[in-house]
Amino acid sequence: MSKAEHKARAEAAAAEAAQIERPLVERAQAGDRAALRELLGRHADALFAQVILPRVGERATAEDILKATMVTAIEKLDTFSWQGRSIYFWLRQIAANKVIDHHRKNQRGRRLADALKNEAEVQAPPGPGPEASLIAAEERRLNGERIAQTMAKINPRYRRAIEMRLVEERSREECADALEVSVGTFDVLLFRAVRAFRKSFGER
Amino acid sequence: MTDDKTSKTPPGETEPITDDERRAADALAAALDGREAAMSDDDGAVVEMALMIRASHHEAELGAVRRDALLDAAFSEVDSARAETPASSSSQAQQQQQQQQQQATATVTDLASAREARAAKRVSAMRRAGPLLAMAAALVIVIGALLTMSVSDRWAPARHAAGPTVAKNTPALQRVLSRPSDDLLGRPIARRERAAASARLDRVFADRMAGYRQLRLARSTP
Repeated sequence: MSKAEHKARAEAAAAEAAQIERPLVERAQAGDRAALRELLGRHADALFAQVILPRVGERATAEDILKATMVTAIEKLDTFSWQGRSIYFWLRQIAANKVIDHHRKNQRGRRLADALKNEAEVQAPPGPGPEASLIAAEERRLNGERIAQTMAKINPRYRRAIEMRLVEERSREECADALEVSVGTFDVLLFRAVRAFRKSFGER
Repeated sequence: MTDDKTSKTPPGETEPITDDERRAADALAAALDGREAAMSDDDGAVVEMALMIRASHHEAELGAVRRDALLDAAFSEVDSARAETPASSSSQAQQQQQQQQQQATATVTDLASAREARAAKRVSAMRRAGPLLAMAAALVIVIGALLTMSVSDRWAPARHAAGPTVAKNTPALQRVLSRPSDDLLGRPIARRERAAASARLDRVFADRMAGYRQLRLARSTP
C-alpha cells in the first residue's frame, strides 16, 4: 500500500470512527452504561491481542491487565475529550501503562518496562470495520520490529533457536534435529538464547 | 534422538550445562507447552520473555465469552468500589478540600491576623499617646497660665477692699442710683481670684437690691 493510499484509508477510518464512536462516547459520558460497554467491547480484542499479550506473554496476565484497563477507563471516562480520533488510542495508552506497571512491580522487569515505554506510538487510526486491519497490521509491525531489533544483536545460533521454536512454532524435536543436538540440549540452548535476548532487549 | 541429560558443552557453546540450567530449560519447555512448572524469579523472567516473543508473532484471540466476562468483572469491580467507599471517597475528597481550604484560610488568616496585630499596635500606641498628649497639653496650659497670671498681676488694679467705695465727685442722684459695688463692675478678676467671681456677682446683686429698697422706701415716705 502506498503512502497516499494509507493516508486515504486512515482518513476514512477516522471519519467512520467519528460517526460511530463519538455518539457512543457522548452517551457513555452522560451515564449510558450500555454505550460504555459497547465502546470497550469494540476495542477489547485489539487491546488484548495486539497491545497487552505481546508485551506480557502469558495469557492469564494479559487478561488481568485488560480488565484493569477497562476498570480505569470506566473510572476515568470523564477525562476523555474527543479530539477527532478513536477512543482506541486513549484505551491503548491506559493498557500500555498497565503493562509497564506490571513489569515494574518486579526488580527484574524494570529494564523491560523502560524499553516498552520508549516504543513509538501507533499512528494508524483504527476502525470498526475493514479499517481495523490497519491498526492490526501496524501493531504487528511494531511488535515484530521490537523483536527484530534485539534478535540482530544476539548469537546467530541463539537467534535460530528462537526463530524456530517461538516464531515458527516448530516442535522441540524438529528444532533439535535442525541444530543437530538432543532435545534436552536444545531446551538448554533455547533457554540460553532467550536469556541472552532478554539481556539485550533492555539495552535498546 | 534421545535426550541427553548428562552435563555436556553443547556444540557451539563454551560453557557446560549446569543442573540449574537444566531445571530452568525444563520449566521453559513446560510453559511453552502450556504446562505449569516451578521456577525461580530469574527463570520466570526468561519464560515471560519467551512468551512475549511468541505472542508478538502470533495474534491470539480473546474470544467473545472471555471478553464479556472481563467486561462484567470490570463493571462489577467499579460498582463494588463505589458502593463500599462512597463516604470515604467523598470524605477523602472533602478532607482534601478541607485541607486545601485550611491552607488557603490559614494563609488568609495569617494575613488577617498580621493586619489585626498591626492595627492593635496602632490603637494601643494611640491609647498610650493620648495621656501623654494630654499631659503635655496640660503642661503647656499650666505654663501658659503661669505666664498669663504674672502678666495679669502686673496689669491688675489693687485688690478690692472689703467695703465698697463711692466716688466723691459723683452727683447726688448718681450717688443715690449708683451703688457702692459699681466699682466692681468691669474690673478684671485676677486669675488667682477667679474663684471669687461668683461672690462678686452676689455682692453686686445684693447691693443693687439694697439700693432698690432704699428708693422704694424714699418714695413711699410722706
